[in-house]
Amino acid sequence: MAILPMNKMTLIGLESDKNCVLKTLQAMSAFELIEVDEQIKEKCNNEIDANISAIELELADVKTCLEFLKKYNNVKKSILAQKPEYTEIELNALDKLKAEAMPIIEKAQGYESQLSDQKSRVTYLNSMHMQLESWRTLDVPFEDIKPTKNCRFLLGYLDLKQSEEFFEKVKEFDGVYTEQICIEKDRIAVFIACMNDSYDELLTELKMYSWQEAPFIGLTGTAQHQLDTIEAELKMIEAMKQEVEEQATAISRFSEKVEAYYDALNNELSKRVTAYKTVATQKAFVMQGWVVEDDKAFIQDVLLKDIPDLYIGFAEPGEDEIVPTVLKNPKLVQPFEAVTDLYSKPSASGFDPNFIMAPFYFIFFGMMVSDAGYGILISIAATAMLMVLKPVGMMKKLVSLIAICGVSTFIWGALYGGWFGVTLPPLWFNPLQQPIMMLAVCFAFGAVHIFVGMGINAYMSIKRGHVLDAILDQFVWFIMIISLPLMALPETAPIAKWTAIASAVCLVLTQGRQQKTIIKKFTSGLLSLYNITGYLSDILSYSRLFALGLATGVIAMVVNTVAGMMAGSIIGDIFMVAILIGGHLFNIAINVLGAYVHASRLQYIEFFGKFYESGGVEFKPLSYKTKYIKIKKQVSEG
Amino acid sequence: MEGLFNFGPILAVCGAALAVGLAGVGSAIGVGLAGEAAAGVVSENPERFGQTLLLQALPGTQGIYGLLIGFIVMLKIGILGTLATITPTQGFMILFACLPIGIVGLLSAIAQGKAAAAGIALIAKRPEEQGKAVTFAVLVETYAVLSLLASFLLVNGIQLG
Repeated sequence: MAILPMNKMTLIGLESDKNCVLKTLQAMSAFELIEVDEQIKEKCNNEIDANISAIELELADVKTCLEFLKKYNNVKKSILAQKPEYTEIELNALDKLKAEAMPIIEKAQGYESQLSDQKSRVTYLNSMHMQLESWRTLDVPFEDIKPTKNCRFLLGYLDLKQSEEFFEKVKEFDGVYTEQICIEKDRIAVFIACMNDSYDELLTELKMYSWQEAPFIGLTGTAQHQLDTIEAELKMIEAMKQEVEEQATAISRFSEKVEAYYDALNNELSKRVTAYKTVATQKAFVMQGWVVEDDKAFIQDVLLKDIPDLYIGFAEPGEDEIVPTVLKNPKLVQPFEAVTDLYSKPSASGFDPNFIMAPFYFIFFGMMVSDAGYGILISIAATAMLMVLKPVGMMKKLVSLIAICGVSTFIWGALYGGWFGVTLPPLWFNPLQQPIMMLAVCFAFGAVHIFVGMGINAYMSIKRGHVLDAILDQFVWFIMIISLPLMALPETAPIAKWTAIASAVCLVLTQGRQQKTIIKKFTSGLLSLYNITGYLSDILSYSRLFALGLATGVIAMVVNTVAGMMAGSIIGDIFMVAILIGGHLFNIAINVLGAYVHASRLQYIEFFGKFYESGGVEFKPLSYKTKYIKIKKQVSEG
Repeated sequence: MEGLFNFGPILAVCGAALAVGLAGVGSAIGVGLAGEAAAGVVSENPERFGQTLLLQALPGTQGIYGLLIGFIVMLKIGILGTLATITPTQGFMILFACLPIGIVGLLSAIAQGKAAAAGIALIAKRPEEQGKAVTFAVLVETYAVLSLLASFLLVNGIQLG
């Protein structure tokens, strides 16, 4: 209903109490900490909390551990599963949570390093295996291939294309023996024996043929033997890996403990980061932040109950301070805040449009879906979702919004006579048969909507003392816009003609009042009449209320017609039911989406355009933020 | 005119076909454009799937509007039951009445697809600004809605004797 006034709270207390103060504030979730005023800051010194970086490091470790466990967790979590609940006291018992989580984290880290060791070993073994594969037929043990008194031996690879040439050339050498062990795709494994005398010469020659020595120094046994060993080891590692993975899967069932610890640690961190924003001397600290004015007494009571040695001061926000926006609306209107928030929060000094916008959104959404059967279905589906999934935050608001708007859809469906695409006798009229009437209804709603928007603007102007602006910018336009259509009706035309002319003259004379020279005043006044097209197109824009309603109704009819064609045989009947269910579900989905975005658009462009002051900043109180667990509330809010 | 062909129904069916066909092609292109952008964003940020899907669906409505007009023409000329007598003049009237949603549906869906793709890029960088991204794309749709209305009123207004 309104934007709540905020106060700036200043707390001064003993440094030893600081943690307790922060804990209490976090539990209350009613205080947004800001940087302390400059003049106070200058008088204090601030030290960096060394614990922050330590906690950040630990948090990163826990996160890695959670990701590791997630990989091996094969327990399918149902989407209906609720997050485990913890009380605030349990969440703050960091040591206890740590004690529970640490064994799991350590084990997980152990498994992770084992797995990564095994992985690198496997990579090494595989590459060795590939190398040795070429020498499988060499039946001499590697340890025997060592220089003798007169002889040297070489194992290596030659480029396949150049090898012919090499073997040709090597024939000229004295005392060189070559044997081709294995020909591969682009290289050839060669065993070379040569006399000591020709070794150097041979080596120079080999270099020209991109010779690569095989890395087998220190190996024992034949290549075949080596290969067998490697294969056995690979098998063993594979078995070990499976065992470790099984163990990881086993402990992954306890990842809940680690998740709780993660959330607790995260909250500890956010508390400490917050504390860093406060300033402190050796014995005392100062912190400042925003609270809702109405919460003042409550916050004061709770804080002083726990911490008696505390100064608490409140002050009105200063002129140039950016105050966060807190809205207070009845429960039924709260879901509609989602629509406004997706646009932009109202500025703290502006006007909370939600209470007035809600009925219009409700009506427009219903008109655009306008099928009584669909209305019942989406209300039930959305309510069920609210009860079973228990969404929070934005999601909760959006689902509630759909649930509420389903009621409107039902009402409009009944008024138009649309029930799952079947036309029953309407309570009011059938838009398909009376399209002109329908358009008139749309434009009437549009005009009311726009007038209300202008009215809010006038109200804001008057509240701020600009009564003249309210009259000249809004009231005159009111008369103008009402007069124009009335000119078309013979009964009202004579009067409407004069009111239209009078308001037009008034507009020409006054709309340029901000300008300096007479000529500029007159021309900008004259140009302002052009705004009439703006109002006209705004009102025409509401014809979408008809068009989208038409879309739902006709597509539902299409579904029914196509399904009806199938009926007759058993198989046909099955198809008919399938088409009816699938078709109507599709139609609901696409039209709820359409109604949601178009009803929002009518607020954003046509309605908000008339008065809205956006740019509000969200109120972000110090509170528990959890990813994996839910907090059970204990402190009842006053 | 009654010779070899009965031109009235042919022209009417041609109108219905154009309404469904052109608007459908436009929506397919538009949704495709937005889908490419969405896939790019989701590859970086899989949790943006829901948000981007919403934007991708927006250019899909033109095809539905086209089908709507097509269906109304089908009902009108009785092609699903007994065919009404339609003179060539009436046939031409129905054909032209179908053009607004056909042409505007085709082009606006493509334009909306581009706006939606840009909106998806916006969400990639600032997911909290989804409302604005959707609004940009929805503004394009206005003209498809207007042409749908025009086509509907036109088809609805033609009297078949």
